[in-house]
Parts: sequence; C-alpha cells; structure tokens
Amino acid sequence: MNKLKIAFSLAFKSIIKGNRWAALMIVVLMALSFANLILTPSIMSGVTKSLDTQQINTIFGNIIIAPQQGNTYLDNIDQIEQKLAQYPGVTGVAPHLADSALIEYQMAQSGMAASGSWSVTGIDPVKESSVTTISKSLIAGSYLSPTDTDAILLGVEIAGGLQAQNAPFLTLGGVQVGDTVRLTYSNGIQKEYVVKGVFQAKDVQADSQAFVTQDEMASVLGGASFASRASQILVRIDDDSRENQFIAAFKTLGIAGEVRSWRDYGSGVGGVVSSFNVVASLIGGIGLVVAGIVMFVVIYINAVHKKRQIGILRAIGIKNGTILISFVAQALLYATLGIILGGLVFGLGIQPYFAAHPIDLSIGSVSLAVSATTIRDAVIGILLAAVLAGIIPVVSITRQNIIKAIWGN
Amino acid sequence: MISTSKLCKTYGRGATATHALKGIDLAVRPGEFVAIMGRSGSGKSTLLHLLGLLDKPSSGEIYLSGQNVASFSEKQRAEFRLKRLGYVFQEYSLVPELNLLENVSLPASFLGLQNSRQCRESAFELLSRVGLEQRAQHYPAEASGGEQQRAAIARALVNHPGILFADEPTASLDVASARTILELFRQLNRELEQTIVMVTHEPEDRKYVDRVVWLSDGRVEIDEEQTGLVSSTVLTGN
Repeated sequence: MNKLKIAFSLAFKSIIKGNRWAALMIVVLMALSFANLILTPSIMSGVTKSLDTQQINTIFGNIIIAPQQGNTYLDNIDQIEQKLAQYPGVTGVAPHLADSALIEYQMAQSGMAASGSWSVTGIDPVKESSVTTISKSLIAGSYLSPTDTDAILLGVEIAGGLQAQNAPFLTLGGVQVGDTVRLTYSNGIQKEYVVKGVFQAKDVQADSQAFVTQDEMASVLGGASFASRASQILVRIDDDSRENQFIAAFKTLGIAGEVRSWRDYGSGVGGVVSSFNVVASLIGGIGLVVAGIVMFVVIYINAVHKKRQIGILRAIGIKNGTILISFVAQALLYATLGIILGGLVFGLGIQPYFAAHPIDLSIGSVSLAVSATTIRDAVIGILLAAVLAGIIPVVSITRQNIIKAIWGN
Repeated sequence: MISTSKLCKTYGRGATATHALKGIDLAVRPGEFVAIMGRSGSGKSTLLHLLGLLDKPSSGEIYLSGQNVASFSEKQRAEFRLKRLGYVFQEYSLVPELNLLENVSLPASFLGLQNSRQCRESAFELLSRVGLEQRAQHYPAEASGGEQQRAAIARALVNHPGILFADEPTASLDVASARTILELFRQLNRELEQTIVMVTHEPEDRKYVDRVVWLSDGRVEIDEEQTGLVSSTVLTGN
C-alpha cells in the first residue's frame, strides 16, 4: 500500500512539477487522439443513421403491415388503420395501394418519346403526410389533393432532368410540371395524367416512386372493392428506437396481416449500412493504433529522458515494480486528462458545430451520431494504449543494468 | 564490515574482453573512512559499483556486514541497498520533481518502518545536520550543486545505512563546495562512526580519509593508513 502511495505520489509530482509544456503537449495529443477515435465512427454512424432516416421518412415509415402469405392485398383497412392509429405512440398511419405501370412521355418540342416501368402507388395525400416526408420534398409543382383523379406525382428519378442521378435513358428524360404522361397499368388500363409535382427526397429508391390518389388507383384496379384494400399500410411511431416493442404489440392486436419492420424491406440499404460499419470499425481500429503509437512514442521519450532518474531510484533501493507503477500511473493520468480534454473539445466544440453545420451529402444532411459504445471503446482504447505505452519502455529500462541506466549507456 | 575475496569483473567476451578488476582482496573495518583512488580506467568506480551492489562481479566474493552478497538476486540486492547501504552519486541524483525534504524522506517512506510524519521529521533532522534546514522546501533546481550533494548525503543516511558509498561526490563542485562535502563526510564518520567508502581522483582528498586504497590496472597497488587528517570542525552551511 505504502509502495503504491509512493508510486502514485511520484507520478503526480512528475506531472505537476515536471516540464509543463511537455505535459501539455502529451495531454493535447491524447485529447486529439481521443477526439479522433470518436469522430470517425460518429461520422460513419451519422451516415448510416441518415440513410436509415431517409428510408423511414421517404419510403417505409417505421413499421409495415403487409398482406398475409398468399394474399396480394390487405382487406378492411379502415379497421386496421383504426386499431393502429389508436395505439399510444403511433403518429401516423398511411395505406398504400400499389401497382406497376408503363409510363410514357412524349416531349413536346423534340417529339422524342421516353418510357419505362415503375411502381405507382395510390395514397391518401393527408394520411401520407403523417408518415412520409414526400409532401415536403417537392422541387416543382404541388402535392396531391385527396380529390385529384388525373394528377400524378413523380419522383425525380422517373421525371429525369438535371437533378436526377440516374442516366437520362433510365428516366423520362425531363418531364416538367404540367406535362402529360400516359400510364399503362398491369391490368391493361391506360390513363393519362398531368404531372402535378416532382419531388426529390435524396434517396434514389424513394425518388423512383410515382403517386396518384388512393381513390384513383382503386378505380383503375377494380372500383369499389378496392376502396377498402391496400397493398400495405405504413405506420409511423414517435420513437424510432422502440420499433421492436411496437411490432410485438401490433402482433397482439389481431390484425389480419404481417407486421414487419422497415428493415425487412430496406435490405439493400442494410448492406450499405453494414459496409459502413465495417469501414467505421477499420478506421476506428487504425485510429486506435495510431493513437497508441503516438502515445507510446511520447511516453517512451519521456521515460528515456528519465532513464538516469530511474537508475538512481533503483540504486537507492526503490523496487522496479514501484517505478513501473509510477510511470504507468503517469501515463494513465495523462490519458485521463486527455480523455477529459478530448471529451470537452468534442462535446462542446466538434459535435455542436456539426449539429449546426451538417455535412450535405447526396443522401441528405449528415451530422455526428455519437453512441455510448463508441465513447466506451475510445476510452478503453486510450487507457489500454497508455498502459502499454507506460509499461514497455520502463520495463526495458528497469531490466537494464543500473550503472548503464544512470550513465545513459 | 566489508570484505572481498578474489573479486573480478570482466566486461565483454573473447578478444574484446576488458578485465576491469583482477582479483581484489579488500577489507574495510566498521567506522572506517576509505578513499579508493587511481587513474582513469584503474577500476575504482567498478569496485565501488560491485561493493554497492549496483553491479554483479564476474567472480569472487563480497561480504557486507557478514553476508555473502555476490550471489544475491536483483530483489535481494534492491532490498539490501534500501536497508543497509547509502549512496551519493557524482551529480544530478535528486528527483527534480520532489523538494529536498521529499527527496530525503523518499527511501524512508519506501522502507515503510515509519509513518509519513516520522519520515519527514527524520528527513528534516538530517537536512538540519547537513545545514539545509532553511532549504527543505526548495526543489533541486533551486539549490546549488553543493546543496544538492548535501541533500543527497542526507538522503543516503535516512535509513541509517551501515555503509555509505560515494562515487566522486565532489567531481562537479567548486573547491569551496567540495571542501564542505568532504568535511561533512569526515564529521559523519567521526561523530556517527559512519563507515564511508569514497571513490575520488583528487589527491587532496586523502587528507580527509583514514585510509587510501590505490588501484592500478584492476589491482590494489597501495593500501595505506593516512595520518595528519584535517580536523572535523563542522563547516556545513558555508
């Protein structure tokens, strides 16, 4: 106990009374290493979180009620919607009635025609607004009204034009609001619609959607019997992190349909997210190794600088273990101060900055997503690196002959 | 108190081997103040390092206070150094981040026979004895070379060692400070009957010691008692 006290006392005095600039430099290096260990995974997490949010906001909502196996449609959707809407925490319920259609467009000026097959979804414009953000993503024209029958809303990847990411031959080549497009549905019915609005949700999958009103789609598919049917019902909840709880609860409501998470449908993005997580882990690992090496070099130089002092302490009978603990404690103190400083820099500087100035990527605005796991891993990583950086040089010096240590041979 | 038998130390191997000590037989009585002298490369520092358990002999025996210490493990050597031996090095041997009082009390605290207050009291007593009571709270960088050496002597004595080793303790000091240190050694030797073994290359220093062992080429060339010693007037604090 006494020897531990001496070791910690030597470590503390060494920091307090030692070279303050050197100590400051070590702490700043550790702080930057720590901030870096959090920053990179946080950016990656921010990207994946942004991708997730995009999928939820623009395509799926949080939970999807799909027809049971073997069925194409959900029936009696009013009852289902009512059950879902009444559940505490549900903020929106929107039925989708979908079909595929060939969409054709003839350019007025050039006379050139463009066409392609896309999914077209019948929506209740009001209910849809409570689940997805399509209504807020218009770049031209206006949103659908519940009474619209000859109007269509096109995603920018269908409409085409300069803002589309897809190549022009994969789009309609630049449909403008007010233009007319002709749809041939899967049942052979053809209808012409005026393009009422073009939206861009910054997600290629979302922007490849086309919307008409639910009533219009019902009339195309078969009239009155389709008024109470839906291909799926999207549900939005107030807390994304509680999706599984809501799914479990919905399964007990006796709904005649499959209750699924949006993730079951967003598998393509899931792959991207997994890839990002792998990249984030790799970068984080490299960051930790770099931080460890930096700390090792700094502490090694510090220990080598005190080689003679270590030799003299050994000569007067101070045991190697006590000297070792002293240097490890010193390294841990530096690391702790670095973690505190790095945490302050990150929490009070970097994170608020990115919150106020998100990175504008094609997938949307990305700010930092810091998780407790990331912080925990960074803290453990820095402390472990400090322990190793403290142990290795001192062990090598304490194994040396005392005379050599004192005389610097 | 100290005796060696056929003590040898060889550095390196084969054709490049250097035989620093070639069979030293030496005996130092309790309370003796011995100077080990010799030209550069004669083996005097090597002998001190072996006697002080800072290095291991290649062959031969070393007896300190009746114990054969030549085959001690590193742990036993550290223990023995802490409890039974005191060291004064040539220069810069204090821990720069500790003040003089903390430096002196460090070995006592580590030994753990006294509580921290008692350690500090013992350390302060010794600092007073070497004339540094007013400088106890100063850091080594704030003390002169002579003051640092006196603090180092106090540190060497704090665990009441049987033998005090000094490796050219005045080599880095000016003449006045060197004289103060040597007179302090003389005083400690006379008043406390402290056994002291000191390596020095200054011929002048022989007048402070009881006996001079002159080494040449790793062997004892001259071993003679000294006469006409200087008085042990206390001159510390000058």
